[in-house]
Amino acid sequence: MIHLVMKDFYVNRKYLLLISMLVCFILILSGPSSSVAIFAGGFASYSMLIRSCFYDDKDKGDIFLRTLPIKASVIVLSKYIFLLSMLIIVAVVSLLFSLLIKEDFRAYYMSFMFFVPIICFINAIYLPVFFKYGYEKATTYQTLLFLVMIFLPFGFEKIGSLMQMQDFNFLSSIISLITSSSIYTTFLVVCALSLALLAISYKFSLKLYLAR
Amino acid sequence: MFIPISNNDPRPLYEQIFEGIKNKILTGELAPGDALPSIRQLAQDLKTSVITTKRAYFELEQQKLIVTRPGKGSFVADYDADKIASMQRAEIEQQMRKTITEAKKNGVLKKELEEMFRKILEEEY
Amino acid sequence: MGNILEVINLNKRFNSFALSDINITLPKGYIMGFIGANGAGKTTTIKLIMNMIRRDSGKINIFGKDNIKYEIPIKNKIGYVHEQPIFYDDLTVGWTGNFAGKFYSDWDDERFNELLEKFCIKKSQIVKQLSKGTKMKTALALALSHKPELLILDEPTSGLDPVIRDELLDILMEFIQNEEHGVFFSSHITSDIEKIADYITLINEGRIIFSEEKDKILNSWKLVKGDVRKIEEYKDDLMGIKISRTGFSGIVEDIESFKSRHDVSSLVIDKTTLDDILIHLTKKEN
Repeated sequence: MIHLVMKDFYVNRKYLLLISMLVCFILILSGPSSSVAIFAGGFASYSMLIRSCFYDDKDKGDIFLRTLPIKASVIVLSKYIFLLSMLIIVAVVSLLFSLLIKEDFRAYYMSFMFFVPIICFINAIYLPVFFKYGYEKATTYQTLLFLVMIFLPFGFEKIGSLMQMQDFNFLSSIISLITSSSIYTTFLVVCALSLALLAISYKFSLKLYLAR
Repeated sequence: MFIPISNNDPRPLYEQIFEGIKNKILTGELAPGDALPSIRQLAQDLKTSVITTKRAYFELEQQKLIVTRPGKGSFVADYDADKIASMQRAEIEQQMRKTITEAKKNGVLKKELEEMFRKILEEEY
Repeated sequence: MGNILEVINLNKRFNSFALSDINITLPKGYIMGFIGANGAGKTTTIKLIMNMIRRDSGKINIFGKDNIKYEIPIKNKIGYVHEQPIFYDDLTVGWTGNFAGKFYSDWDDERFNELLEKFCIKKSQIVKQLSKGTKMKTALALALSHKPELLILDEPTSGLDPVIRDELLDILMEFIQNEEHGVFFSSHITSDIEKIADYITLINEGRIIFSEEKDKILNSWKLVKGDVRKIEEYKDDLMGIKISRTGFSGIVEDIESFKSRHDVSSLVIDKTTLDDILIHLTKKEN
């Protein structure tokens, strides 16, 4: 399986370079901030994943893989591992970056806990669609997703301020739970939830892929 | 080993191969004990299918012209000259019979046939 | 000797097309040609054999084992060549071989290099830039470089010149020298199949019309042609009758019994070719 993941990196290396430069560019423009790094990095991961799906679809790489002695479960899993490995790279690089600019770690954790689940969520829905319907149909969905991705941060702010004003009991209790427990616990919980989301998505993707 | 086979020949391929090898045995080109190519090798040489050469070899075996030893291959059988001579004569007789039946079907009279036979005999011998 | 490939009562339904009750048996050591018109179901059948799509019902045994349960060990021993060889176009032949090799348990890099050299293909060439024939040869080199026992080829030579086709036939004949091997290949180019196939399976509109020894078909079946005005007399004993303005033609399975039942003096009796059989026994698409 590692070969499949490496293949995805290698096959899309030009795109990877492009995207990395874009991220750097954004960072330079916005000034040093790990939040931006994570946001841009998360976006880049998502983009790379979509790109690798595109590439596989275009050259019918899927058919090629199916003629090799590779289990379908491995093929599906490799896409998730690809995504995860990119997110890990983003997380580590952003952490180093955050250390470099001597930022308060809270900023790092907050943006991480915000963006990463969203990326996972978006991909958790994208990938099953991709495995069932292929790249073309999934792209339509992708555009929608993209819009959601762009506007959600703003929406979240709005919702956040709304909540402060309206004082929903349930949400406020969750928020107080989040703010009261150690940030590290929250961080771990968020990571675990994201992984769980991806795992569920994987089961779905596999089922759909095998049923083709 | 070259065996002439042709797509234009109305006979089935296996028969052509059979006849080809049989001929070589009858004319002495292949002597008793000579090794024949394996059915697969022959199929590759002649660019035919394996089943075709298999059938040809089977027929040759039926006629006791070759023997196949498991694990070793196929060889020209030990035969005695008399048997070969009688086989050759049987061939010729069969061909004669064919010609005569054909002639009869086409309405050639017995006398005409005899005349033709005599004429050709004169020319050839 | 066992069977290298067994397809038993295979069924697969799509929206506008269905494969029904497909039965194919190929013993070890032989070559089977798979023929049929476009859209008859050849590629679908092969995809099902390779488990690239899921079957609705039926069994497929390769090397005596179920092709889904033992998918990985089976695929390790199958060499597959597609009509349009599929690889990552922007990458090189060398990379492709290297990549594929990582998944096969018996990858033989030396053999791969040998074959590439024999086919005059450089490892540094980019797949996209190869000609159709060279792409096919690359796929073939890949397929032969992991000690396969069964070769499955899906229209490997369509659109290729006779020279390359001949080379392919040579390679297949070399491959079948080993009695443990088998070859299953589909093609439009019936002359190729006529030459080297031991068995022939004809598929039409998702159904198997026949699956027989090639010699039996080409030796016993005859093409019969005659005056169209006399067709009533013969039509019950002919398969796949075709009628033109002045004449009819049809296929006879057993010419001797046909001769005993009919007066054949006004008919033309010809050897059949696979093309004749295909043309007569195949219904056109819509």
